[in-house]
Amino acid sequence: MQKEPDIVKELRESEKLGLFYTKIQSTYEQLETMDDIFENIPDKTIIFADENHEETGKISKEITHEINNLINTSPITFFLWKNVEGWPVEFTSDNVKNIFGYTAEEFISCDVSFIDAIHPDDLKRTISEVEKYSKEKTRKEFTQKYRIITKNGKIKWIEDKKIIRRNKQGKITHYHGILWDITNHKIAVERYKILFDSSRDALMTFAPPDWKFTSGNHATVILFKAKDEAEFTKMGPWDISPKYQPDGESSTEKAKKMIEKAMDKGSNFFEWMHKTLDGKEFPTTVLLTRVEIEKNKPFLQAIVRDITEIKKAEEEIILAKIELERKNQQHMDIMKRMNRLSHETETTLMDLNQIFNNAADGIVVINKDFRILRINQTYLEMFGIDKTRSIGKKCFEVFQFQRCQTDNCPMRKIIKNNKRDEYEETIMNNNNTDISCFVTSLPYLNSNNEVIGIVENFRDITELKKIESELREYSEQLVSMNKELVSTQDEREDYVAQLEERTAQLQKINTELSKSEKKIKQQNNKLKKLDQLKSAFLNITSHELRTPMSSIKGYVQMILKETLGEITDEQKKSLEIVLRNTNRLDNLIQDILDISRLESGTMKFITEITNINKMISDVVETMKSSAELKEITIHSEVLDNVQDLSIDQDRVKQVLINLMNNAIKFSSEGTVINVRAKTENENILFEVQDFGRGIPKNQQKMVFDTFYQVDSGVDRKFGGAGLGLAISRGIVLAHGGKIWVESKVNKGSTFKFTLPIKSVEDLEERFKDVDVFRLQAIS
Amino acid sequence: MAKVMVVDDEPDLRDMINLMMQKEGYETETAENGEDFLKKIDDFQPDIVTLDVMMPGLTTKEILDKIKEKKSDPKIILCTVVRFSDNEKKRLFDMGNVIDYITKPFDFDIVIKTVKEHVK
Repeated sequence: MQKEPDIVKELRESEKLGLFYTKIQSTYEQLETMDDIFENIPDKTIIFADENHEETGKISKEITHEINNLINTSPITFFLWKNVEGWPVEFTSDNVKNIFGYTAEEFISCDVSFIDAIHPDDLKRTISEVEKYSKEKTRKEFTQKYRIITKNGKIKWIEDKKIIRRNKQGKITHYHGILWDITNHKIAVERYKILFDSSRDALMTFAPPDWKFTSGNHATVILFKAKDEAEFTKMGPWDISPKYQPDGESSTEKAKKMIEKAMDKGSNFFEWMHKTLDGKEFPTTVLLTRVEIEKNKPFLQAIVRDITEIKKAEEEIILAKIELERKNQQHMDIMKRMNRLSHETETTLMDLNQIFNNAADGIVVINKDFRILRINQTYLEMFGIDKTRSIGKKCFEVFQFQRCQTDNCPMRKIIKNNKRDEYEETIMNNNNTDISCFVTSLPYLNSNNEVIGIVENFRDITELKKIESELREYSEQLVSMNKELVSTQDEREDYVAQLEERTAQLQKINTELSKSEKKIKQQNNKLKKLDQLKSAFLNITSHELRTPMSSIKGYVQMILKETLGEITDEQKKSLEIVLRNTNRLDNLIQDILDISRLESGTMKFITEITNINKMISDVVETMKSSAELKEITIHSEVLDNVQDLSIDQDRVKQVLINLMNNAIKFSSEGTVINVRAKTENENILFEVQDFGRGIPKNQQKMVFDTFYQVDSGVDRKFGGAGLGLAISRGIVLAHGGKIWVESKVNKGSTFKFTLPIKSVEDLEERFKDVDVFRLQAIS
Repeated sequence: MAKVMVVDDEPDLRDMINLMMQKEGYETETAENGEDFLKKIDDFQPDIVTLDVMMPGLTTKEILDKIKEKKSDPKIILCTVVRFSDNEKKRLFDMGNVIDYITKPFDFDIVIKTVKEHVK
């Protein structure tokens, strides 16, 4: 809540007077009701009714007393004027002195005329107002505001509420006046008006219920380009706003909300798009303040400030920021480029240096003063020179060649001719070995093409020279051999004949070879076709085998459920057998499909995060009924710390079901099967233990092979195609795990498999690397 | 009562599902392939369609694309012999109209349950 301005506080002071007046008014109304009693007393009013009068005395005494007390302790003064020329004062309260400086006596005794106390500038208006209102027959009261001059010459503003008293004939006999000093109020209002008018901000007020403007200062009139305040106050806020605000809301709707908020909270500050009367839109800030000078008559004062320039400045700042950002970016780019260039230069230099040092030729750079500037590694090695003892030294001191300091010095020649020079030279190096060199001397130029030294290039041609001489020797040998060859011409002819025979043989072999190559190609094509056939077979089996199964199963189920009519118990039993065998056949087809897919690497794996505890209890639940048939109890135990795995849940369930199926199959009636899972190193270890007949040691590894049956004879009794374990192994291997069995004959078997805790990212991809049917089970 | 359309090139299977649906009280119609289905769909205006994914002629995707040009907007249950991964499921269901799938060989209870679930 904003602090209330002083000026409003002062205005509010006058409200107290209003309250006081209301109290007087009510007392007076009580008296009105007693009009009948007083009507016989023509020239007296209740205020000073004769105390001794029989009828009224008692009442009037009380009331008079009360009113006098009330009046004298209040800032209100009471007057009673007789309605004759000059309005003589018949009564006034004692506190009249506080306002006028004159005593009540002075007025009543007519020492001072009331009219004389009125400010001459207001006198004429005051009298004409009284005359005007007095002519209205029904009027009972009216209010005037005028200035008076007090006894000591001070000017004060007075509010005077006059009550007209008429006798029975309707003739006005008296005026009662209730007067109070409103100088402070007037000053406050004046000050407010001055502040209001002289403010550079556009100030305006508007009030309910229609929320039209009630005032607008000079700045307002100019801001909105109105003719004058009168034109402005014909409008409401929506008349000086565009149809819609920048956020798209209708100005009328939004203005209502803003007003409501200001009225509710006391003030409301917000941005608003305004519009001048000639239609130009401009952004502003608006401060609405609720003002309540008269009780229950609140209105709003608005301060509107044009922020076009601020907005413009804001935009300019943003543009400047963008520009700065752009400059920054450019700067950064340049820096980056410089860095890159510097890096490139460095690299180039390093490269050049490397090339220089690793060149096949020895290179040395010498300046005009015979000082060595650069010398490469090859040169140093070629002549057995130490680098630290050569750079910056005089060349003839370092090299000590025969030609040094003679006319044959290449430097002297170069300075003379400024020409490239090439020649062969044999130089003895520091190890006293002769080196044959092909030397190239080049002038070393500065950027102005002036000779500032020499670049010498030494190519070691010692080896070349050696080969050259060897070649010469060979050549001589060849000449002599040629002579010998001529003599063996005859032998050669024989040899040619032999060669021809061999060639013929080879051609024959070659023909045979291409024949067999053709054959291989044909076989290859055949194999490819077979492979295609196999894929086709897979497709056909998956679709063609399972489709008829669907019809068989569906119809049998429908009949069993008596959807197609009632059936006898015998029929029901028969159909149940059909259904059971259909399911068996379906499972077998499923197994063959799985094996084929595992074999061809087309098995589909779908991984999901799996809770091991839940998976095992699901499987146990599934197996319960077939275990119960043999009165076998399944105990399952999953240690708490076993974490969730990312696996193909359905496939792993299939493994567990296969293992448990086997366990049930090979257990005796009334025994126990244990199913466990626990963490072991980086794997989860699963175990299915039975106490059945067990597997002999020599067969333990083979049980996982396709179509393997421990004992064909026995297995006929137990049923099954011997595919379950092979499928299980394929699934476990694909998951990156291992599967094996620990068993003793007649004691029982424990099938164990592991799954790695770290999930295998792409099972299908991984699976292609696993050769399921050649790897042996690991124990 | 809801309308179910059975699309399968296998007459036995088609008749069976059709019978199942009729026994469940649905109004039914059959089609023997994609072209036949697209010809009949707007006359019958099915709520649910069981659509075999392996039929001669139009592929499943072509059928699903062409349904978009039709007045009818049925829910489609695919009949398949393979399992789908989550990604494949998403891609299938993104093709529009597909809401579920059942795998062969069908289980009577599952077919009925699946259709019933989507009729609501």
